[in-house]
Amino acid sequence: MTARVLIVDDALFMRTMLRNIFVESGFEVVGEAGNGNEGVEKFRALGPDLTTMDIVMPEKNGIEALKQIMAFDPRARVVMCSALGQESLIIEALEAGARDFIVKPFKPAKVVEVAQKVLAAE
Amino acid sequence: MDLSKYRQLFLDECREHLQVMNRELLRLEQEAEPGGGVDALFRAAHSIKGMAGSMGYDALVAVSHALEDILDRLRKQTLATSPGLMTLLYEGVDTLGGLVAEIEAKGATQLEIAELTARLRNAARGEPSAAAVSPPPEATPPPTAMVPPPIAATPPLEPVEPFPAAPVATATAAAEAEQAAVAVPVAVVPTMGVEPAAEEAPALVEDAGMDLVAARGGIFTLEPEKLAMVRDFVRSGLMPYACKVRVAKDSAALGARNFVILGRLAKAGMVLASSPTFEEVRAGIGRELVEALLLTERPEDQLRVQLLAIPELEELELRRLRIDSGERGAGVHPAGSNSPTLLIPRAAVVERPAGAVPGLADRYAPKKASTVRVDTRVLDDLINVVGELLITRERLQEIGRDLESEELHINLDRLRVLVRGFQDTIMTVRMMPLELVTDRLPRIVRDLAHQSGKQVNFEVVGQNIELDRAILEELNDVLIHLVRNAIDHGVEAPELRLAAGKTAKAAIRVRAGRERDWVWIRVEDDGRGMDPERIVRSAIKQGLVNAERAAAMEPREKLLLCCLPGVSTAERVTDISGRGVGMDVVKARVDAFGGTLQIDSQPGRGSAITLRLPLTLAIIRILLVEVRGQEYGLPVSHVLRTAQMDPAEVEWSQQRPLLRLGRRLVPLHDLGALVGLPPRDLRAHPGLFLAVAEFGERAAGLAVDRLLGTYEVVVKPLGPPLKRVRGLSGVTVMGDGRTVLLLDLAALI
Repeated sequence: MTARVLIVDDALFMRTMLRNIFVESGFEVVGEAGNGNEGVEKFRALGPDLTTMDIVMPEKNGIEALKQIMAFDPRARVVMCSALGQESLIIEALEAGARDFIVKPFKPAKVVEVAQKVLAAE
Repeated sequence: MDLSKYRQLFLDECREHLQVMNRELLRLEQEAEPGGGVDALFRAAHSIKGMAGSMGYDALVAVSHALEDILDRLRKQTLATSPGLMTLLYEGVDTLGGLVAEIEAKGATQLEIAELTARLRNAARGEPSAAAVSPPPEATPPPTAMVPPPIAATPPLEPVEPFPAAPVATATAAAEAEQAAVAVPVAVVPTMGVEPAAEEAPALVEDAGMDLVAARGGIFTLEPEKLAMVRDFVRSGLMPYACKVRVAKDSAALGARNFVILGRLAKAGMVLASSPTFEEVRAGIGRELVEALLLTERPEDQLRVQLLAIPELEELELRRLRIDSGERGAGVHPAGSNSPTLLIPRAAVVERPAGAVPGLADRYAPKKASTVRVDTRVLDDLINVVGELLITRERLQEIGRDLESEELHINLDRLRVLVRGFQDTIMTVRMMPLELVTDRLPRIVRDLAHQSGKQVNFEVVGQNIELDRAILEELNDVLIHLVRNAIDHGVEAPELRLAAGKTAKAAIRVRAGRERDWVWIRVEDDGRGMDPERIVRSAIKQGLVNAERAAAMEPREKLLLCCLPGVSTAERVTDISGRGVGMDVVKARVDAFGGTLQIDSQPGRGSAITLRLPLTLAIIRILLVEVRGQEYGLPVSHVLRTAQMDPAEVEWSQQRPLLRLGRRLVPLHDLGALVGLPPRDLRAHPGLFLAVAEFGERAAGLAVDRLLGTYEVVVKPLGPPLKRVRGLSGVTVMGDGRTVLLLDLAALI
């Protein structure tokens, strides 16, 4: 079955790029959200198999959104998206339950690898 | 990866961020204390950096990164603003703007940025402001060789989280343990067999010496309690493994990757010791090689599969170890020798701090914003919700018709008002001013006029009129077409104008206005006008109309012939227009919106082309009709009237029915036949109903079996293959879930 992906990122540019990477690799992108609040809402509404979560966002940052998502569904598979040099934030997110992370600038192959492996893991 | 398709999006978003940066810099300069604006500035620089990195624009990355570093310190208040710093920040933002402009114009950057970047970097390293708090001494990491300094990205004065006393692996911990004389170091002696059988597995041996040597020289120290625990676990069937995981060289965040690896190991079993440890990773240490001592009940192949599901692995080495309890002289304990299952208290292995890292939560607290960027798809979703609400309300109304409940009717009315308000609000959000499209026109007019040696005074009136964004997007090309036509064919060269007694400078005007649920847009010029007869000649020559029919046409109808493909008003083909494409494209686009197009022209005086467009496309009112058992929706906007068919109004001409409409006779069609059902003689079916459809100058009667009332519905586009069927404009879902096809009257009649 096609994995259903939700993309949370405040930059339309990043969302579009991720969307294309996912779609071209056979994933189904079921939703996009432009900030943390929206991301949490969409997660609840859509129940995606995988969520990509930007960290630095207006309204509600990705870590807060991640925490709310994990509280709502502890089995949620959330992959953080971050820029170079945000390692401490990624680790904070991993401690809060994120499954993995990808670092911008994205390499499509890496995005797909992370997504597939996170979906394959128990 | 083809990045070109992202370029426009990239440029648009960069420009938005630059706008924010300029605005916030101004504010920052005026404020005594840096407020929330610094966060917005930081995020903007951060976003530009991220996007530029993805696009491979290194200069943009370098400048935005340097700016980001300064802004990060400003928002953490470890750096104070000063007039000099502000000037530098402005310079940085201007340079970003310059780079973005270069990328737009040339697709690459040439601006020299090295010197500026160096100055920005210097400023980012500047002295902390008075607000900066020095880290308490105990928070400083122990200065041992085992603990490398924090990663370079961490500003030097950033207080480092004190890490909990590491139970294993740091030199300090080992020293402390030694001092306390409780450490019972254990040596792991690997057997490097190619196929390690259980019996020949490497051993985890107790050694009276000091060190625990893991496979390939990693150093672990186990506390005595842990060692005793390990022995018990092994006895009860768990297996110890030495794991060696090498991270892919291109990993962009080693520490975080290490953290994931350790997390996965901890999930697979109990991490007795690791290098780096969780604590080290938290403190910013990342290694290309992660080694760990793992205790798990899982068989090796299962464990391997599980660990291979970690992204960015270069190499995974897994060795099953043997435990030797020197004290009790116990030898090998093969798996499954004792108790069948065992729950591993994971918390005992991975100790996590009770709360999140302090400070971060505050630093990234949600910010209030007065506007948000909304994905148009969200708006489409909302429109769908409105549609469902409208339909459900109509259903309730129907059900309630037979119930004589005043309360029900009062509440249904209230619901109508609420839904209407909801609909209006969402429609408002979807509305964008016409100026989004017309803003580009003056420049286009200037260039085209220049190119064709004409002088044009261009004016836009009513650019604040708002239209649904979906229509606006399509309108862009249409308006450019019309304005090009006006310059190329409409207005004359200055000398001709002067000879005709006009001013040398021609006038082209775009005007827009609103009438109820419609918007009209008119492109007018004071040029030479269009000659209906020449258009007719062209159309006849192309075989698009016969001379007899053309002779009977009204002047306006004749002008509309120029919208047929291949008909041109131009005597010669130019670069700008006049290739026979243009007006037909415009007409098709307008028809697709359910709009109309009208041409007015007076030879020698000028032309005006008027588009009449619906305000929005998403929700329309339809007339639901039944044709031989099948339901169809007709857009009410193009239905002039409905009635029971009166045979007295129908006249017959050569076996074809015509409908008397005032003084006009218009064709009368059997709608069933139009949608492909076998034609029937309308005279043989008394009691039919009639809907009169109108499209600009055209009108026609449509015979249907029943009129089922009007409904407000959400138009959903048709997917393939129905999309290609002529005469269908979309589909809608009714309150009870049945789908109804919407007919494109413009194509049918």
